Amino acid sequence: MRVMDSDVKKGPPEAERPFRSVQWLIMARQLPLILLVVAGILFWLEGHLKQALYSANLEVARRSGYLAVAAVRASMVGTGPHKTWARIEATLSPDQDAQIQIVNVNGEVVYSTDSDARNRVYRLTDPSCSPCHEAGSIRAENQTAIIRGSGEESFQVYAAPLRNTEDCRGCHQTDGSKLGMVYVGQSLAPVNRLIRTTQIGLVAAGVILLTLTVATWRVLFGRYIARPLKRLVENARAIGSGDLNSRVELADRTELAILADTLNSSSERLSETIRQVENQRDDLATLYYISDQLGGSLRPDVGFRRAVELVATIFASDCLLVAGHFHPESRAFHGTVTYRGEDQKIVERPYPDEAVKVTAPYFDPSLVERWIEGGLNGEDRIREGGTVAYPLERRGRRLGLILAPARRPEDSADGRATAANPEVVQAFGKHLTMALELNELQRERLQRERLAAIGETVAGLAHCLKNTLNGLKGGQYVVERAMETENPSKLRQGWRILKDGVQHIERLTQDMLFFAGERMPDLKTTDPNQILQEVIDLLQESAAHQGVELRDDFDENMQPLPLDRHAIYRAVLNLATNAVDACVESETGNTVILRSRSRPESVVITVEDNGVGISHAQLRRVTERFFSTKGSKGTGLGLPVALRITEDHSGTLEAESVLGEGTSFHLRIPRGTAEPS
Amino acid sequence: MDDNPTILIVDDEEANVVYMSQILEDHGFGYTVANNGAEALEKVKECHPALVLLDIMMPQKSGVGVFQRMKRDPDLADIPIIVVTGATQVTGVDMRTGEERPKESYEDDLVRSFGVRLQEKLAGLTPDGFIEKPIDPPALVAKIKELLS
Repeated sequence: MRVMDSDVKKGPPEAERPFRSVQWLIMARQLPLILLVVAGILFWLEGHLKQALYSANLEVARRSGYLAVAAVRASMVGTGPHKTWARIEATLSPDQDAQIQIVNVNGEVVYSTDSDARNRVYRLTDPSCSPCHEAGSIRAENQTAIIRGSGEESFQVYAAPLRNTEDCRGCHQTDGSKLGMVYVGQSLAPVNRLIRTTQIGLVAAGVILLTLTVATWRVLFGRYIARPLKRLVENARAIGSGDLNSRVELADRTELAILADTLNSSSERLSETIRQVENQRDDLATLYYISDQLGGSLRPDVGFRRAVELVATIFASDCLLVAGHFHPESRAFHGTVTYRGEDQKIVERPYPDEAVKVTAPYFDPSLVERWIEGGLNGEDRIREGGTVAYPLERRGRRLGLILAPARRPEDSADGRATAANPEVVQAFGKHLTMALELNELQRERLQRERLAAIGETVAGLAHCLKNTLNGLKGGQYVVERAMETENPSKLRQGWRILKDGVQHIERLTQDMLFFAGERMPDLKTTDPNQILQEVIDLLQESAAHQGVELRDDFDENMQPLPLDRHAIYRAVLNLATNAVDACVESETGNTVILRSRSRPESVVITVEDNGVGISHAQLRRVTERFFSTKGSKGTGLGLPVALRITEDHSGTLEAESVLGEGTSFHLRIPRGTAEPS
Repeated sequence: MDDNPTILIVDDEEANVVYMSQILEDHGFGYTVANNGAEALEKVKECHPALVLLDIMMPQKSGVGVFQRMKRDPDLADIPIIVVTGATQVTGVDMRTGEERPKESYEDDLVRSFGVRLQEKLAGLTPDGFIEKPIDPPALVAKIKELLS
């Protein structure tokens, strides 16, 4: 059962809460940095490379210039002008990357590898001269410059002076120090190409590097961080939704593995705790069940059997119950032993009388005797060679003893030991003790109440009888006197008194029987009007004799219903007798009406008189036993009997009265609640 | 003392009246009868009887009323009253506690059998005599003679 469902407050389910992977967070922040660094490095590299290459290029140009100068000198001096250029070309073998121009002091191009430039004349103000000859000055500021060629190419130009040396003066009869300039232009195209290539390469390298970094990052991060994290998250989610057996194992021993271990052991502990809680809850349920079963009063004849059955049911164990009382003086113990016999039937034997016949294997008489002597501690379980004993004691009063076999789990058929949970069994014992005590207290109280009731009843009866007896004795006395004096009218008078007395006893006896009777009403479908008529017939003459008229007021549409005829007759008779007496007592009362009304849900019988009435204070007391306002004539049982009979029919008895004017008693009997027999 | 003293019988039950009147007649006492408290007081004032036999257990507790009135009225207080009662004299074992109970006084009996605080109502006034029902004729006569002498 999933324990964690109900009460845990949650936000939106974890699956739906938005989150950003740690991985991306880090990479998102790191990538720009890497990009920046890589870009920086690239720029720096490119810059330096460019510089280096340009320098190299220039150096080449410079050396070429020197070579050119040397070549010119050599060729000039040795062979004369016409072979000079061939010599220069042979020496320098300039390729398309280099261009050489020899310019004399007049600006005339004497030689050029570029055939288009062969007859050119430069002026100092020409744009191609201005990089070095700024503002057209003869003296150049620089010896090198970058000049754009005729095409798109740029050239790094080195200007080497052709000095007018001793050797030159042989042919060149001038005094100037210079004869001309050799301009070597080393094309930057290859350099630029190289640079571009390098740039591309570098960018490519950068991209590759970045990709590698990212990829490696992803792989490594994924392997060591993201995947374990995901598994941890999944595990946590599983636990969160109630699967406490979910575990996670991580391959690499990193902090995450430690986290995994911690998570695992936590859910293990949680699992265990919940198991314990469930066990305790089960134990609690068991206890509730026990209290429920034992909570009612435990009649010994039923209760001990019940207790033994309960132990068998709940704990799958047999047990033996010794319960009884200690005699107040002799301290001898008398009680019963209840246990499950061999055929699984509950057996009860008086203890100690038939203790020898007890056949339960774990019944140890010496243990019981020790308990009787007071040798067992009330709070401890005792395990004595295969028997477990739970004393039932309460506030020093010893009520009994539970004995049970101390089985090991592997010994019993279903693997359950006797004391599945010692505390629960103890609690059971305590409950049983309380139930026993409660039962005893209730018995005592009931006995007291019974005695009190009997006492009251007997006293009331005796009182009633005394009056009647007085009447009988009086009648007797008068009859005797009448016989002595042979006085017939006195004889009649005395005889009448005797008859009245006898009748009174008769009524009282019947009332007593009705009142005390435990029988259920003998219900037969009856027409209440008939009963009322019988009462009228009985009382009419004697009532008339006392000046009271009996009238009927019956419902013509009376629907018969199940009634105990005899009982209802009694009740109505009592009520009617009271009504007649009330009229007699008052000076103006002279009418008693017996009324019946039939309703769908009930029948109402009313006895109404215009007699002396009942005061409010007395009205409350009229249903007390032996309460009578009629002096020694009343039995005091008339109304209680009527009430009792009414209640037996699930009905109600109501009275209304006005002092001095009259009284009505309404006897309402519901239909349909009683089943006719 | 009158040769034929008149005794007032106060009782609502015909049987008791007949009984007591027969006894009185047999022993030469004159008598007159009242059936309720009001009638009794009338008769008392009218005839000034030598003695009153008073039944306490009458409707509306009128017996008590008569008793009190008579004892409080200086003109009537000298008339002896014998209270006739059906109260039980209980001796023996208390059924509730199992203890032995001593013989109780009539006052306690009255209290228990009436269920009212008769002692209060009697206001500490003592009847001159008690006669238990059922009436034992010799005992009654003896008591009457004692009080009339």
